[in-house]
Amino acid sequence: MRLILSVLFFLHTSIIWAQSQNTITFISAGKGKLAFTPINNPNNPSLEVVNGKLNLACQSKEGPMFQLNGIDIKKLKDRKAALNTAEVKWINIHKNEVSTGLLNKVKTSIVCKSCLQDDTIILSGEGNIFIKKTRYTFKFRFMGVIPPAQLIKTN
Amino acid sequence: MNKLSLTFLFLLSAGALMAQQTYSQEQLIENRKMEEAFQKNFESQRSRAEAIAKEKGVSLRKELTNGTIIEFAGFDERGNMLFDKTYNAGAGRTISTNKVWPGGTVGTSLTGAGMNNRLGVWDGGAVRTSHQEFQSRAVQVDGSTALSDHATHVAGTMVAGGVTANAKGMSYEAPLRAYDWNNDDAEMTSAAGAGMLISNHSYGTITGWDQQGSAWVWFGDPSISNTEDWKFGFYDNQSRDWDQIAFNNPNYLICKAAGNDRGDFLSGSSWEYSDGTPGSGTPPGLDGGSAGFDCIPTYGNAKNVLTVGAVNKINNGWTQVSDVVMSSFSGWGPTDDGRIKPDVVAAGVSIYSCISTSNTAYDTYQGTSMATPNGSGSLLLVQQHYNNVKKTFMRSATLKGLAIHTADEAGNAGPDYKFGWGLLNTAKAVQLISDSSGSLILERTLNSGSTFSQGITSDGVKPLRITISWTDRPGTPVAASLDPTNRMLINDLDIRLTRTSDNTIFQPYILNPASPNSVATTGDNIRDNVEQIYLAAPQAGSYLLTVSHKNTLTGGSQAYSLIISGQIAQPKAIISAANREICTGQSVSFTDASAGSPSLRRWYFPGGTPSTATTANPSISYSQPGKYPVALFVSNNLGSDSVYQFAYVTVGGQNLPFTETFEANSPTLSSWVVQNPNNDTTWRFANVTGTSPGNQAYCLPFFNMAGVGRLDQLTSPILSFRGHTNVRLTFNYAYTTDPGFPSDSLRIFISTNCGLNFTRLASFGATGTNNFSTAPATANFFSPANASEWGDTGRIVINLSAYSNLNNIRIRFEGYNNQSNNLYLDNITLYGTPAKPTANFFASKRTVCVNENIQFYDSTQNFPTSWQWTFTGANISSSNASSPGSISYAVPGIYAVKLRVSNAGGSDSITKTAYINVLPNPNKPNIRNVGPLQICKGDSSMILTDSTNNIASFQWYRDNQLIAGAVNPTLFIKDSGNYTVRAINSSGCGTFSDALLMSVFSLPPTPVITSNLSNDVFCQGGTVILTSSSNTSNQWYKNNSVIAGETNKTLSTQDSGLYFVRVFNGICSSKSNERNIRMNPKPPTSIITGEDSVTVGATHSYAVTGLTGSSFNWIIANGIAQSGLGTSNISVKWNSTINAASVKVQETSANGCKGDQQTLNITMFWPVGIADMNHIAKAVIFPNPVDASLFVTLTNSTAKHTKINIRNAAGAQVLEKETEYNGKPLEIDMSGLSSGLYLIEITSGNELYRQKFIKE
Repeated sequence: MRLILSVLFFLHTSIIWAQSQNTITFISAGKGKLAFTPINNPNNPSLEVVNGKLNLACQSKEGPMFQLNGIDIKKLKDRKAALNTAEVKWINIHKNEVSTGLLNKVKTSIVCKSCLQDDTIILSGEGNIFIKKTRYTFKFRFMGVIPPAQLIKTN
Repeated sequence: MNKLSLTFLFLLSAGALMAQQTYSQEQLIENRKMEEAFQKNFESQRSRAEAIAKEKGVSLRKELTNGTIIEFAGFDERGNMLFDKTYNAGAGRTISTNKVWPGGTVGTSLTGAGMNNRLGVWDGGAVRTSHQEFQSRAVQVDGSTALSDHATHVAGTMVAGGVTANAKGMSYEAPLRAYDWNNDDAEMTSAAGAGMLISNHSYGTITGWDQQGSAWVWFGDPSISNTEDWKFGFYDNQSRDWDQIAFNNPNYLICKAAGNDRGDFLSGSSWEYSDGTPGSGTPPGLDGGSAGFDCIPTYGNAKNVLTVGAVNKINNGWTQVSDVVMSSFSGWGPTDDGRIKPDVVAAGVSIYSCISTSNTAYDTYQGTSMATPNGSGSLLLVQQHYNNVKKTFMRSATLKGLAIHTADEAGNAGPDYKFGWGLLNTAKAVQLISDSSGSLILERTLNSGSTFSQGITSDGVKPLRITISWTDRPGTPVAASLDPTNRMLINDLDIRLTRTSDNTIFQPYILNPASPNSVATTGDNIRDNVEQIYLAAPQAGSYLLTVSHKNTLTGGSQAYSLIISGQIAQPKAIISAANREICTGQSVSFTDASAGSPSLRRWYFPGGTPSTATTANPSISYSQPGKYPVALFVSNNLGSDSVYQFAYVTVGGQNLPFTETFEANSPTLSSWVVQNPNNDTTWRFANVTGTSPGNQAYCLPFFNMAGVGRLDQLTSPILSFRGHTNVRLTFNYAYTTDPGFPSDSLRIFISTNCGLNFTRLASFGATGTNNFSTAPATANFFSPANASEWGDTGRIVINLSAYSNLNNIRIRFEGYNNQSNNLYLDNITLYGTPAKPTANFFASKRTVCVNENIQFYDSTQNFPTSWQWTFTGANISSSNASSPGSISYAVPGIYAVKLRVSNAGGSDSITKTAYINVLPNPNKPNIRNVGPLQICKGDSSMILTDSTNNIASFQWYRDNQLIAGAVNPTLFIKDSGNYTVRAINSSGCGTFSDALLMSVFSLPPTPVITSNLSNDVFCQGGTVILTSSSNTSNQWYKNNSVIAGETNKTLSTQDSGLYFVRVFNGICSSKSNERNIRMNPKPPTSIITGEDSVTVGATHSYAVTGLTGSSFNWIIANGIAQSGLGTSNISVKWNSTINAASVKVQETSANGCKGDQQTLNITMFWPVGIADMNHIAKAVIFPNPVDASLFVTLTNSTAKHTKINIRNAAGAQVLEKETEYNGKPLEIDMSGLSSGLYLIEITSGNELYRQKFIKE
C-alpha cells in the first residue's frame, strides 16, 4: 500500500508539473491581470512547422487565442537567434478582436535539446501588447514537441 | 438596340425584380407595352444587322475563352453596330448557383445575407478586405496584413458583391471571415466552436514535382520510392487532425482543394530533391503517372472534408454528361486505401475575380483553388435555405451527402476517381430541401448492434436515389510508405435496398482502386463514409431500405445522414385554375397541382359540366351564373388527401352589391381591364386626396395626352345583376378643364354579353352633357386636393333598371381626349333591389356512414342574406351558416333536411325529404396481441382481430396512419406505435378498433469484458477482476447462470468459470464476449524436516517435499545457506551468535503458483568444549528432565564456594545462585522457569561444570 501511495503521489505531482509547463499571463499596470487560462488539452498549445516556420497557438478557456508565429526553424536548429521575425498575436475569434504585440527578444528564449522533429521545445519569454486600448505585459512559458515539418502551397 | 433601349431593358429587368415584391397594375401594363415596342424595334434592327454581318463576314455572337459572351445589341445613332458583353457568371451557372439567387428559376432568393460567422476562408495571406467587391463584409480575423492576390481571388469567388458583374461571387451578400494559414488547425477549431459552418482551404502539401522559381524540385522521398511521391493518396497526421476537427464539430464542413499536381513533371533535364541535392539519373515519374490517378496530396484525402476538383465552366449550366470537361491539372484519386476522391467537381478554369493589387483590381485565375470557393460559397446558400425551411442548420455530413446526392453526372456513370460523385448542382440541392413530394432528408444515429429500416415506394417512373453519409472518427495514419492499403474507415455503415416483391437486394456503388479507370459497379462498400444506391428505372412498388453496420461501432453509435429522392410520398391535394371568373357558357381550366404524385384523382364540380373528372387538367363549363365549389380527392398507395374550395368559381359575374374602391387591397382590382388603342397615355392609378376610403383612384390624364379624339377604356370585371331589380350605377369623379381647351368627355357603356358588344349609357363633357367639372379650371396638371374638388356633383348615378336580373355584364368607362385636363374615378358602385330568394341546397355526399361528416352548400337563387338550416337527427340540429359542415348522423336511417332563406326581397324555404341516407357501420372490431407488446429492435410480434360479422375487409393503421397493404386480419409488426384496425363492411363503412400500444426497445451497445489477467489464468487464492465496458445495467453470469447480486461494472471473483455480462435496456439486453477464466492450484508443500536445536556455528540440512518442476525460495534467519538454494533441500550453517533463527521456504510450481510458506523455528545453543565434558563428568544433576527442583552433586569438587548459573537456549542467564557446597546435593528451585532446554554452569573453585537439562 505504501508503494501504491508513493506512485500516486509521484503521478499527481507529475500531472501538476505537466500543467504548469504552459503558462501565460497578461498584466496591466492599471487594470491588473487579463483573464487567460490555457485550455488543459494535450493539443494546447498547438505547434506546427509550416514552410520552415514554427507557429504556436494557445487557446484560452475564456475564448481568446495567443499566437507566436514565424519562428525560423533553421535558425532554431542552429541555435541562432530565431525570434527576430516572430509575430505575436492575441485573437478573439468570437468578438472579432485582434492585437499584435512585441517580444522582448532579450528576455525571450527557446530551449530544445536538438531542435529536431519530435524533440521537446520550451519557449519562454515576455513582451508587450495592446489589447482593447490597454497595454499589457505578457509572460509565457510553453512546452511542446516539434511536429513534422509541412511544406504547403496554394492550389 | 440603342442606349435608350438598353436603359429601358434594365428598367424592365429591375421592374421584373420589383414585380416579385410589390407592383402596380399600371406599371406592369406599361412595361409590357414598352417591351413589345422595343422587341419590334430590335427585330427589325437584327434583320438589318444580319445582312451587314453576312456582307462583312463577322459574327453576331461570340463566346470568349474566359466564358464571356459578346452579342449584337443594335445600332448607335451613327449606324454603327453595338455589342453587349453578357455577365460572366460562368462559375455560378456551371453549378447552377445563379438559379437560387433572386430572380432565379428555383424561386428562392438566396444571397448569403445574414449568415454571420458561418463562412470562413484560410489562405496563404490576407484578403484585401477593402476591395470594392466586399462592401465591409470580409474581415481578416487574425489581423494578417500581408495581402495576397490568391486569397483575395478565392474570397471574391465566394462572396464578391458583383460591383463588376463578371466577378460576382456565389454568396454575394454573405459575410466572410478570413485567416492566413498559420495555426489553421487551432483557428478552425475555435471558429467551428463559434458556429462556423463552412470553410474554404485552397492550399495543400507540396507533393511530387514543383517548380520553385526556375528550378524543378521533386518533393518525394527516394528512400521510400524513386518514382512516386508517397504523399499522394496518403492519409497523414494532418488528414487525421482535420477529420478530428470535423468529428468534434458536426455542423462544420471543411472544403479542400484537390490540388493541381496531375501531370506535373520537370521541364528540361536538371532537377533537384527538396533538400537541395541535385537530381541525377532517371527522374521520378510525372505526378499521377501516365494514367493520372492517385495524385491528391495528404489532407485532401481526409474522410470528412469535401475535396473539390476543377472542371471547365459551363456557361449555360449542365444539360448532359459531356458538358463536364475535366481541367488539365485537377488531382484525381483514389486515396491509398481506395476511397473516392475528389468528392465533387466545380468550375475552376478561367475564373474572374478580384485581387489584392488595388481596391478595383481583378484577374483571371485557374486551379482547384478556384473550384473550391465556387463550391464552398454555393454550399453556404444551401445551408441558408435549409435553415429558412427547417429553422436549423444541417450537419456537415448532411450537407456533404446532399451535395453528392444532387451532383450532376460527369465522367463514368456513377462515381469515379476523376470527377468524384459529379458536378455540384446548387439548385438541385436547394430544391430537394423544399421537395415534399418524394424527397427525404433524415439525420439519425445508429446504435451498435441495431438496424434502421424504412419503407420506400416507387412509382416506376422516377429514378430512386439513396445516399448515406457520416462523419467518421479519425483514422490512424500508418508510417510513411508508398500506397499503403490500410483502411482508414473506422465505423463501416451499410445500406441495402430490398425489393419486397421478389426480395432482390440492391447494393451501393463501389469502385476498384486496382482498376481506377473502370466504371463503378455495385457491392459491399468497405472503404467510404459515403454510400449511394441508384436505380435509374426502378420497378414500381415497395422497397425496404435498411441501414446497418459491420463489426462493433466504435463509440457505441454512429450519427449518419440519409437522403432519399424519387420515392412516392403521401399526396397533398392542391387545386389550381387559370381563370376563376367567367361568363356563363364559358369554361374554366383546372390543374391538379397536388404534391406527392397521386396515382388516382377525382374532381367534383357541382354546377359544372362535366360535374366530375379524373384527368389532371379538366376543362369545365358553367352554364348558369353563381358561385361554385370545387373538390379534389387524390390518392396513391401511401394514402390519400382531399380539398374542398367553396365558392371557387364565379360564373356570370360578381353579385350585387358591387363596389370598387381601387385601393391596393381590393379583391377585384386586378379584374379591371385598360384598353389603350393608341398606345399612348392612358388610365393609371393615382394617389389623390379628398375621397375615401384610402387615397388611390383611377386617373385618365387628359392633360398629358397628345392629339385629339384619343379613346381610352376602363372596363369592369364581369358583373351579375341576377336577383336584383332597380339596379343603379354610381361613382365618384373629379374633373376640370384647362382654360382654352374644350372639355374632354367621359362616356359610359354597358355590355350584357361579357364585353362582346357595348351600348352607350351616358356621356359627359364635350360629346355629351357639357361641363361636368367638379373643380375650377386650371392650366396646371389637375389633381384633386380635397373633398370639395370631388364636389357635390362628383357623384353620378345611372339607372340600369333595364338590365335587371341579367348576367355577364361589363361596364366600360371611356375617355375621349380634347387635351384639356384630368379625370379621376373612384368608388364605383352598383346596387339594386334584391329579388325574393328561391331556396335550394346540395350536400357533399348523400349516402354516408354513421358519424361520417357531410358538407352542405347553399345554392339559393337571388342572394340570401340569412339562412336557417334544420338537420333533424343529426349531431347539429340547426345552423345559421350559409354552408354548414361537419354534419353527421349517429343512427342509420333516412333523413330530411330543410333550409329557409331570406333577404330584403323576402324569404323562401325548401325541405328535401329522404335526402340523406345513413348506412350502418360494422361493429367495433376487437384487437389483441398474440406475441408480446414489448419487443426488442429487430424482433417482431403479431396482433390480430377476430371480428368477422358483416365485415368485408380490414385496414390496419399505425399512429393513425394507414399501413399500405395491411388488409389481413393478422398483422406482423416490428415498429413501435399505437395500432388500430378498421373493419369495413360491404357498404364501405368502417369502424375502428381500440388501440394496442407496441413498444420497441433498442438493444444497448454490445458490452466488452476486460480483465486484470493477461491470459485468463490465475492461481488458486488469487483474485480476478472483470470489467464491463458499460457503466450501468450490468448483470454478470458464470457458466450461463446469473450471479445473484452482481450488477456492478466490475466483478471480483476467485473462481474459475465461463464469464460474460449482459447489459439491459428495458427488456432487451446485449451479451458481451465470454471470458473462460481458469485457476491453477497452488503446490502442496510439506513441512520442513531437519534439526531444530542447533549449536552456534553448526551446519545442518533441511528439506521439504514439493512438486516436480517447482522452485523453492528459502529464507534463512541467523544462518547462511551453504547449498541447495532454489531446490527442495538446503544446507545451512548457523551463525556464531545466538539470535532468533528460523528456516522458511515457499514453493513456486511450474505454472507460477505459489504454495503456502513453511517455517521451522530453530533453537540455538553455545557449543560444549572437551574440558567441559571432563568437568561435566564431575557433576551430576538430577532429575533431568526436571519439574520443580533440580539437584546438583559435585563428584570431584573439593571447593566449598559454588556458583551456579542457568542459561536458557538463547544463552541468556535466567538464574544465579551462590552457595557453600557441603557435600550434600544442592537444590535449585526450577518452578519459576518455563519449559525448555537449559544449560547449567557450575563454578566451584577453579573448576567449571556445564550440562544441559530440560525443564518440563
